[in-house]
Parts: sequence; structure tokens; C-alpha cells
Amino acid sequence: MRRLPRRGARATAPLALVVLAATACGGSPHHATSQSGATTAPSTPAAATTDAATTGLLAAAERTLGRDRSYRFDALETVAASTPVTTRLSGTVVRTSGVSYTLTAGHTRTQVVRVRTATYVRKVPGRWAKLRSATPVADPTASLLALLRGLAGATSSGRSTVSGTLSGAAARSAGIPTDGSPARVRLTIDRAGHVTAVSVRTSTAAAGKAVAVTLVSTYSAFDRTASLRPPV
Amino acid sequence: MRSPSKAALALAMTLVTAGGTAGIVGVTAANAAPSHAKTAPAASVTMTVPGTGVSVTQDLDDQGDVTGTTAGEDANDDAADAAEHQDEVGVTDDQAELGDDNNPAGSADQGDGDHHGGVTTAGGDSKDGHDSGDANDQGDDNQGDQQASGDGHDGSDDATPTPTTTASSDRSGSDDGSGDNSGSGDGSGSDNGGSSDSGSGDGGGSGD
Repeated sequence: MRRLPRRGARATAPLALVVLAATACGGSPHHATSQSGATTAPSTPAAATTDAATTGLLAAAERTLGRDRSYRFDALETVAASTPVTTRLSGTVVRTSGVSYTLTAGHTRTQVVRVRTATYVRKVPGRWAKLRSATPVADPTASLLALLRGLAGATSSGRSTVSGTLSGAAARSAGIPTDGSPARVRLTIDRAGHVTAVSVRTSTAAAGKAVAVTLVSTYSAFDRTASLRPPV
Repeated sequence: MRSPSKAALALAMTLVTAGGTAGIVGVTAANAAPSHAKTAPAASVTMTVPGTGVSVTQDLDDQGDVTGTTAGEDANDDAADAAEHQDEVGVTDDQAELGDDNNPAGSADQGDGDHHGGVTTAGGDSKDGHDSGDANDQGDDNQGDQQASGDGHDGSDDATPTPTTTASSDRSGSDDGSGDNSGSGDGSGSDNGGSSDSGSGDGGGSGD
């Protein structure tokens, strides 16, 4: 009879350990996730005005953008909170059919072809896979258009460079993160009115830290890109 | 009526304890382990690359270090879409991820991703056990990349357009010297190209 309690002790001791471990797992706090891309800080009103010459340049760029059927892009985004990290995004926009791009992060490259009927993805190198649902193909120029329209206090140097700021609200409208302070923008516009380069410097807060974000994007091959087709 | 023995009582108590413990373990494990076994980032920074329809999100940990990068549709202009924002691709710890939990990637050959759902990780090895392999057998057009080898990319694998350097761009030291072979020929002065390639470099899309 004395063996029974011992047997029971043997059986329950591991169980007790499991219970303790399991409870500890369940009790540990989860990471608090926050999205800093969409901040709720009050926007800064556009105080400065844009001179007539610069307004003309921006208007021309807006008109040309509206006519552009396709172009290629190459962007480098650097996020610096503690250690700066740069990500590269390059690809092609064809307004009537979709977007294709390559994301390079560290030594890893992934590729996307987003057309109306489906979205194809792959690691490079690697076989193509297909997302279960096609990603909606919206007008990819909308964010650049928002940037052109939201620019305040813009000045131009020469005939090609425009510098200005985006208020918090304007930045958010263009998909640019901000802590409420204006984002600094520099545009390069060619003689035909194409925006050939965009440089954005902004700041936001994430993980309780100030984060500096820099984006440098270039555009080329206007109306010289063939329609996008599914890769498989 | 005969009362149960002490041994029978002890056995019954053990069974009850074991059953309860199993229940606790089951519930706790369900709470502790997310379906995709991925630690949620402390915060993230999302930015739309202007004029591309693509948003890039950097996940940061508590120390402010970037732990992962994803790219997906630009949903900033539509609150409804933003709620359904989907990552198309991502990279975490140098591991590629294709699709996300809401919109997983499946074999393109099947024509229906439903049977192969699951976030696919580096090398095309899907978490759901489907090995998509490393070999690119899609016959991608890689002319553009082969013509522009200046960026050090392995052109044979890259079906996207070669990164373009614009003459007047303030690259802020970020230009890696890649060549532009797109040859826009638009007289804008923004293109360094010279070839007659009209988009063939994005073989992933045009494939011609």
C-alpha cells in the first residue's frame, strides 16, 4: 500500500513540471505590436508657398505622369533606428496591366509579378508560386501624384530640381511615414516633365525610438516597357 | 455496498489530475504558439515607394533593429484596403517568405493555390511541405540583366528590370553603380541606356 503514493508521486511530478512550464509559457507577455507607419500625430500645415516657376514645373510633371503608360523604377529605402538597414526595390510599372518588382533585403531577393488576374511570387532563384488571391491592381501612380500635389514651400533650382516639404497629412496621403514633422522631398524632373528621381527624408517613431527614413527612387524607360504577362 | 479501495481512489485521482493537466497544456500551447510560429515585431515602419503601388514594411524589435522586411500592395489611399493589406513577399533572417497567412502562395503550376496554401520560405521550400525547388524552370527572359552586369547580380536568375541610375539623381551615396540598359530614348536625359531593350528585362512580367 505504501507503494501507491510513491507511484502517484512519480506520475504527478512530471505533470506538475509540465503544468508549471505551460503556465509560464502562457503567462509570458506577448509582444505589443504597433504600426508606426500610420501615425496619429497632428499634421503640420503647409506654411510656405511655392513660387510660380516651381508650380509650373510641378504641374507639368503631374500632366506627364498622367500620360505615362509605363516606366521602370529603382528605389533604395534606408531605415535607421539603431543600425541603418537599406532595402532595394526595383521593377516595372505598366499602368494597364500591373507591376513587377524585385525586393532585395540583405542577401535575399524575392520577386513579384502582379497582374490583374493573379499575383506571382518567387525567391530568386526559385520557381514561381502564385498567391491564392490576386492583389488588386490599383493605379500605381497615385502615391507619386499625391506627393506632387502635397508639396509645399517648393523651390526649384535650374529647370530640373524641385525641393519642398510634405506636411504630416500630405505625407500620409502619399504613403510616407511621419511623426508629424514635415518630410523633406527633392524631385528631379526632366524636360519632358517626367519625374526621374524622388528623394524623401522623413522621421517617425517605432519601438519607442526615433526612426529616420530615407528613400531615393529613380524612374526611367518611360513608355518603353512591354505589357506585363504572367511568368508561368 | 463495498467501498472502493485506497488504491482505486489514488488511481482515479491520478487520472483526473492527468486529464486536467492535459487540458491546461493544450489550451496554453494554443495561446503561446501562433500558427506561423513567428514572433510579432515590436513595431513596424511602412513606406510606399512613390509611383509604384508597392509598400515596403520594416519590422523592428524592441531594440530598434530591423528584423524583417516585407513588400505588398500600396493600400494607403484606401482605408478598407489598408485593413486587408497583404504582404506579397518578405525576408526575415535572410529567409524569403512568399505570401502571408491571409493570402498564401501555392504552386503556380497547379493553377490553384488553394491546395498548396502556406507561407513559402527560402529556397521555395514551403512550410506545408511542398518543395518548389531552387531551379528556375520558367524560362524567364533575362536579357536585361545579362546586358547589365554592373550591379553584381546574377543575371541568369533575375527576371526583373535592371536597376536604373538617373544622371541627375541625388543617390545619397546609395548608388551601387548598376547600369541602365532600358534605353528609354525619350530624350529626357534621364536614362543612361543605349540598348534597344524595351522592357525585356522584366522577364518576370513581359517574358518576351
